[in-house]
Amino acid sequence: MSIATLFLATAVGAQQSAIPAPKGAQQVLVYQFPEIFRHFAPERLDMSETANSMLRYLLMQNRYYDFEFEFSNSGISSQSPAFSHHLYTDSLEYSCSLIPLEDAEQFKKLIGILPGQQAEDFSGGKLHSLEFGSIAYIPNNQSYAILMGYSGSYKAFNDESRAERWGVSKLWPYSDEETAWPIEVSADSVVALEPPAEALIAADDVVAVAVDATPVEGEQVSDDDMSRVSVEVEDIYAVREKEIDSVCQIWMRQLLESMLKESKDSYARLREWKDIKFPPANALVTGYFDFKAQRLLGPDWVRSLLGVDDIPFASEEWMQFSLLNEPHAVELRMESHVAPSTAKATSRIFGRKLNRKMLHYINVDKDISVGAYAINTRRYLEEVPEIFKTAYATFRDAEEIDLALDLLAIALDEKAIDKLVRGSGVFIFSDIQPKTYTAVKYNWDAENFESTEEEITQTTSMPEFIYIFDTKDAATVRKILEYGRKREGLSYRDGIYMLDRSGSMEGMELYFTVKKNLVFIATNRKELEQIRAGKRRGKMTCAKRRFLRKHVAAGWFNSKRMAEVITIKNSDDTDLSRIAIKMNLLGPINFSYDRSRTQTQKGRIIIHTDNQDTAAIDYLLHIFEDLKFK
Amino acid sequence: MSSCFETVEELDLRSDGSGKMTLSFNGSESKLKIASLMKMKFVSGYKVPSNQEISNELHNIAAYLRSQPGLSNVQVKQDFSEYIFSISFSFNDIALVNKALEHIWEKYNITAFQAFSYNYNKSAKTFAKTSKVAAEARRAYEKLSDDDKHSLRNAIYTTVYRFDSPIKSTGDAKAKISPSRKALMQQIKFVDALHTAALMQQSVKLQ
Repeated sequence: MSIATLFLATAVGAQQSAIPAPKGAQQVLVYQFPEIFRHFAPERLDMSETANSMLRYLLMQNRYYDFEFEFSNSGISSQSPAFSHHLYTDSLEYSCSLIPLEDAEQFKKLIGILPGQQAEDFSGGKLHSLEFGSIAYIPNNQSYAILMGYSGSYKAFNDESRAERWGVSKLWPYSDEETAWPIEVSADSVVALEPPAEALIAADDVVAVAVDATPVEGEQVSDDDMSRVSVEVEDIYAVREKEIDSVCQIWMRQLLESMLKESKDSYARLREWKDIKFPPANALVTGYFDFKAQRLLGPDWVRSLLGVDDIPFASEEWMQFSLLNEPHAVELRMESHVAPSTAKATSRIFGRKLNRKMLHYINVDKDISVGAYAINTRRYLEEVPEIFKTAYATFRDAEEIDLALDLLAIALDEKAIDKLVRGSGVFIFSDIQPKTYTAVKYNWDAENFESTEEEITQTTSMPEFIYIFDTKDAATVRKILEYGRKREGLSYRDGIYMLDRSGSMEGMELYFTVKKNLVFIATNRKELEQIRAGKRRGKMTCAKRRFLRKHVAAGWFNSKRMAEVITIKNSDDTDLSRIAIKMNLLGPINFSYDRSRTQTQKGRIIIHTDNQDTAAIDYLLHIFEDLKFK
Repeated sequence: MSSCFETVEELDLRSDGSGKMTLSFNGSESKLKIASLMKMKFVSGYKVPSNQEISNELHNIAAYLRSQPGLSNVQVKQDFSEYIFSISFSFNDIALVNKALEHIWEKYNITAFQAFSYNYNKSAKTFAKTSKVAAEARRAYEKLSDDDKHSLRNAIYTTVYRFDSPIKSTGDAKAKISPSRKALMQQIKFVDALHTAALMQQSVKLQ
């Protein structure tokens, strides 16, 4: 075994939590408390709204309800990680939080378990019922707690056959059919249990009442009868809701029991994902999202509109992100594992480097933000039909979509489009300029309070930007612009076209020009005039050049430059001035996305900080929360 | 970039209880921001109506008002370049205004947030406006992001009441009374009105 393999095995093996986790969760959040509390005192976290809301999420607390929370008095252990799992099945969605404890009694108080409240003996521990149907399990050794809740029960029994299997009343029982429902043991994806006897009895009673109330055809229905029927309908709904809740409670306990029996922790479960790698030791929070063969997570009407029940993503696909604390930076690292077909497609699509000529127009000192990308347009157009075919394979009209995409592939001249738009692009956020505009204000006559309209001048701040893309067919681009001019959509002067937006509400004009096989679109005419005149705009360093050309997409945001621009040009704008003060406390923010060579794709956002005495993450949290208007 | 708008409620009341009412919204000072928001489908969970939808609803309201006996001379003004909208109408009796407003509040679910009505006693020569701000309105405001709350901080609600007879007294010490004493004006911040319903109440005793 090589040293590297041994190291990797050790690193992976070292990740254990000893709290049983559910199988098949599609989303897992890991709160690395040992690392978090290396940088934060609990009291500091208690003061942070952001940290508080994340911890409320872990504790499955509804954000619209008051909930007093102090980590130092919570009973939660800061020595082990906590986990939040979300499991989507074809019936319910389960939330499951795994929380390490140092003081179980304090924790029980926190989550609203009253002293002396009855608890159920369950699989070597105690099971407590919480609000809104949730449960809390604490083993006899009180080393951890499992909080579990569910949602989606309102639609779980829309399937009548499932409702019949579990003895859940029909929504509208007025029917001539037999009301005796055969009860089977379910082959449900999560559990297979007899429905609770109480639910069956209640269902029979409700049906009996409903049959009595059925009006006879032709007979006049009195108001009394109608009000009795409406009360009975309400009763039916109430009983049905109770039945559903009762079945969901059983399913939840079944899930919990299977977790405890299998006793596999979150890391063991995550290792079942193909090629999973765990983040480095300085990760504070990590999230894992499994896309393989799962439903589109959206409203029912979307599925109904598309005529599809499940929209599978390609198999083996998952994504993880980690928040990492560095000495003078905070990093958000993302990694996704894609199917071999996706990897091959993206490798082809991102097979070009950024056009070097664009670098001449980037000024690393003066530009506030820069974002650059490079794709191979021809290969993109070749791959996209297949990508869409896979995505839409289970739609109602999949055959038609497949045919349409094949015809599109035939009609598209990939080579010609590739010549027109090569695939490199740079977006430059260059400036923030004050812009004046007129507005109407009411003047109130002091004598009679009649109003008159007065035109006033207001000043606001507008961003300036330049977008550049490359072409090998400048003639066609010029033809398009010239056509726009002839149609009077564009005006023209000295080689620069303008999209006439003098009446526009955004107050932004757009200017276009072509030079040296580069197409420029900008909000500031002067920038393009200088570019056309050959005046040097760009200032580039070797490091930045390498950075932009090395990655498929990359860029930065120069916080201090933004602060400077606001201070110099927009100091009257108090909101922006406030932002400037905070921006000045940060270093550059870099972002990048890496070319895919294997099935792994990576992205990073690094925020540099000027922290001295506090951890970078603490420093950043301060700034972030101060930026929110109070 | 701060943002503000002004909502205006104007009522001209004659001694016989007839008069004219105008409700206006002036978003001109925030028109750039409104224009950007109008490009979005949803903002803070609320659906953003299109210009056409706004125009349709204004005309629906106008059509309803025209259909009501005792209401006349209904006029709609809409300016989508400045985001200024107003509806005005004349009435025979202020009680008819209450009836019409009640219908409009219900149709647009405004009663969940705020509703007002008027009372005029000809013989006693008293005029009152009662206003309710629902707890739902405050909750909805609290749920807004800090950014959205910040945008609303300069929004103003203006009420102007004009009478035939001079004003003897008013229950609101902060309201401005014109030199002729025949007009009363009150300007309050929208956010303050949300939290203090009393600010929206008005009572006037005429000579």
